[in-house]
Amino acid sequence: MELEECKSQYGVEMLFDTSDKKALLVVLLAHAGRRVSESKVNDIKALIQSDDEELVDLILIDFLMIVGNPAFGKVQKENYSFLEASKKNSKRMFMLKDLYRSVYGMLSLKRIFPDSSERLKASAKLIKILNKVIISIKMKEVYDYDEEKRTNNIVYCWYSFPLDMIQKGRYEFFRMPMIEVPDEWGEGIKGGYQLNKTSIVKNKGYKNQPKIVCDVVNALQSMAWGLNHDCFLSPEVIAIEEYNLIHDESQAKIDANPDKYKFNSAVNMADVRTKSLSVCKQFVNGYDMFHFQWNYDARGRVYASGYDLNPQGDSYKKGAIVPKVVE
Amino acid sequence: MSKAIGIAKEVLSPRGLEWLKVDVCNCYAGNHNSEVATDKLLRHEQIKWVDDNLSELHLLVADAEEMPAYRRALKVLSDALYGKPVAHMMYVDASNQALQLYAVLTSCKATALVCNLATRQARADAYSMLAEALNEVLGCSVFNRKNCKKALMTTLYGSRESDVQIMCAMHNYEKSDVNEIQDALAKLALDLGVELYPDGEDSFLKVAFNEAMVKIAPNAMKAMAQIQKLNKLGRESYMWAMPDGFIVKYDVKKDVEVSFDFEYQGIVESMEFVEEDVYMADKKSAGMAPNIIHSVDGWICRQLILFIANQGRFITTTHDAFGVHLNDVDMLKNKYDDLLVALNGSNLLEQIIKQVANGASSIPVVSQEGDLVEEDIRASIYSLC
Repeated sequence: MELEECKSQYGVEMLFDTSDKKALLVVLLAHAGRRVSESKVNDIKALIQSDDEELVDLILIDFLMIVGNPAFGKVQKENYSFLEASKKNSKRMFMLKDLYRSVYGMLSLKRIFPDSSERLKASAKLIKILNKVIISIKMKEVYDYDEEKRTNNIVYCWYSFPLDMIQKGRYEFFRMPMIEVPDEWGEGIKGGYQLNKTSIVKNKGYKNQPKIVCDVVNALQSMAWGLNHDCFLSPEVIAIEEYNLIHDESQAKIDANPDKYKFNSAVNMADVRTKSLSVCKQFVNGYDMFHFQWNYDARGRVYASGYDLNPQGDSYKKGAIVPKVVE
Repeated sequence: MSKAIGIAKEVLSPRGLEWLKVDVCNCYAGNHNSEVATDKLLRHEQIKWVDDNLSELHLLVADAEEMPAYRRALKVLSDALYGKPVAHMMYVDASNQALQLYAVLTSCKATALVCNLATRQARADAYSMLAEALNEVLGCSVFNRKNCKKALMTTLYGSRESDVQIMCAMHNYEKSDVNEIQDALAKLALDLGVELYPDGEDSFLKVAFNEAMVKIAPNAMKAMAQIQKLNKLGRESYMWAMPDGFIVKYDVKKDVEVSFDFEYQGIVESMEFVEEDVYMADKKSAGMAPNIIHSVDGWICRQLILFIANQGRFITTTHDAFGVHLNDVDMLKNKYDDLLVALNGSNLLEQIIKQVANGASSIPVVSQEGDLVEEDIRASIYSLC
C-alpha cells in the first residue's frame, strides 16, 4: 500500500511499523542479497559472549540499519555508497560512532557492553567481522583543508534498501505529523502515536506524571494544523524560497561549527532537507488537518515531535504550517 | 479522544489590530538591510511604522527576518484593515525570560528593570544595559549590545565562558580558536592597562563581566551562585516537584573522553570520542541553575497552555514564545502577568532548593525579600513582546 492510500492514522503507522524486528531482519538481509554466514554469526556470538540468537538478530538489525542508513531517506541505488549518499557518513569512524551509540534504540550493544570503552572496542570488532559481508571499507588518501595529506576510510555498502524500508527508517527518526488527534496521555498510559509509543518524558526523566501534567500535552496535541498555502506565491516559488532559506540556515550552521560539518556543504544539506520536506508536505497535503505528538523533557519543557514539519522548528519548518482555520 | 481545536476566523478587536501591526514589525525586524530594527521599537512606534508604510510593506518582503510569517501577516493585515474576519496566530516572546524568573523568584526590582518587568511604558534592552555596565567597570567603550549578547544568554544558562563568548563575538572567532582568543584577550588587557589574570584564575574580562552582571541584576546573580552550590560531588540524580505535580528528575551529565587504539588493515589508529552518557556530578557541574529555571519556565508554559486551551482557543509554544490568535494576546499577557505576580510573592525557589538539597546539613539561602511589587509587573507592557 502507498502512503497516499492510507485512510487512517493506524494505516499510516502500520506502513512504517518496525516493531517486528525478526521480520525486519529477514527483509533487510534479503535486500542485502546475501546471508550472513554461520561462521560470522558465531564470531558475533563470541564477541557478545552469548548464544542468544535473538540478541544476534538485534545486533544485525542495528548494524544493517546503520550501515544502510535508511533514516536519511536516500533513494534506491545499486552499489549504494556512503560517499554518494552523504559525505558525513563516508568515514568509517562515523559508522563506528553510530554503532557504539546504537542509535536505533534497541540498545543491544549498549545493554551488552555498558562500559563505553568496551562498547567502542566491540563496535570496531563488529565492523571487522562483517566487513566483506555486506560492506567494504576502502582506504583512500584525501587532503584536508589545510592541504595536509591523510588517509580516510570510505565505507561502501553492497546493498540497497527499497523505498518502503527507507520510509520505515525515516518514520522512526523523523516522525511525521499525525492525521488524527494523537492518543491521550494519562497516568501510566502512553499517548501520542498509535504504534511506536514513547514515554511522556524523554530520556531519563520521571515517567509517572500526574493527570494534570498529561492534560497539558493532550491539549497541545488537540491543536489542529494545516499547510501554509501562501496567498501570494505559487507552490513552485515557495519551494525555491524554502530551498534558499534551508541553504542559508545550513550555511549558518556550517559557519558556526565548521569542524562538525567539515564533510557537508550547504548545497548538499539543502538538497537533502528540501527533498524530505517536500515528501512530508505531500503526505499531509492529502488530509484536511494534522496534529503533532507532544511530550516533555526532564525539566517539564514541552516538545513537538517531527523533523521536517514542526511548530518549534526553524523558520521554514514553522513557516510551512499554520493553525487549521475553523469558520 | 480529544476534540481537534483550530483557530477561529474573527473580526479583530481594536487591540487585536494593534497586535497584528506589532506582529508585522516583529516578523520584519529589519535587521538585514534596513536601518530600522522594527522589533525593538516602542509599541506606539511599531503601530505608527506600519501605518506610515502601509503602501510599501509588500516591497520589504525580501528583507524580512521571518519571510513566510511576514508575508502571511501582510495578507492578514490587508483583510483586517477592511474589517474582514481573520484567523491569524501571532507569537509573542518573553523578554529575557530567565532574568524575568530570577527577578520574581528573588523579588528583585533591579533585575526586573533589565527584562521589562518593572519598566512600565519603557522598553529595556538587557544586552545594551550589560554592555554599558561593562564599559563602566573597565572604563572603556569597546563593548556593545552585539558583542555582549551571547555572553549574557549563555551565562544565564550556566556557562562560565563569558570572556570567550565576548572575544568570539568581537573578532568573529570560533570557540575552538583558543590561541587567537587568548591573544585578543591579552591585547585588550594591554590596551586597557589592566592585568590579564588579576586573581590568578579568571581573566580580567570574566571578573569585570561578573561585576557588571551584579550591577544590572544583583539578586539574580546572587541566586544563581547560591543555587549552583546545590551541586554535590558524586551525586548522580536530583528530583523535585513543581506546584502542579510535575516531577523533575535529572541525572547529572559529565563529559568523559573515551579513546583507544584500533588496528585495521595493519594500521593502528587512535580514536577519541567525547562521551556524555556517563552520569556523575563533579565540582564543575553547571546544570543546576539552568535546570531549576527551566523547570519554572516549564511550569509557566503549562499553566498558559491549560488556561487558553480550556477556553477552546488555539495555542502553541516554543518554550518562552507563545502563539495565540490576535484577539487572545491580551488575555495571554494578563495570565502571564498573573503567574509572574504569583511567583513574586511565593517561596517556590526555597521549596525547590529544600527538595534538591534533600535533608543536607547546609542549605543555600536565597533572599526572596525584595522590592519588586505587583504593580510593577502588571504595568510593564513589554514583558511579552
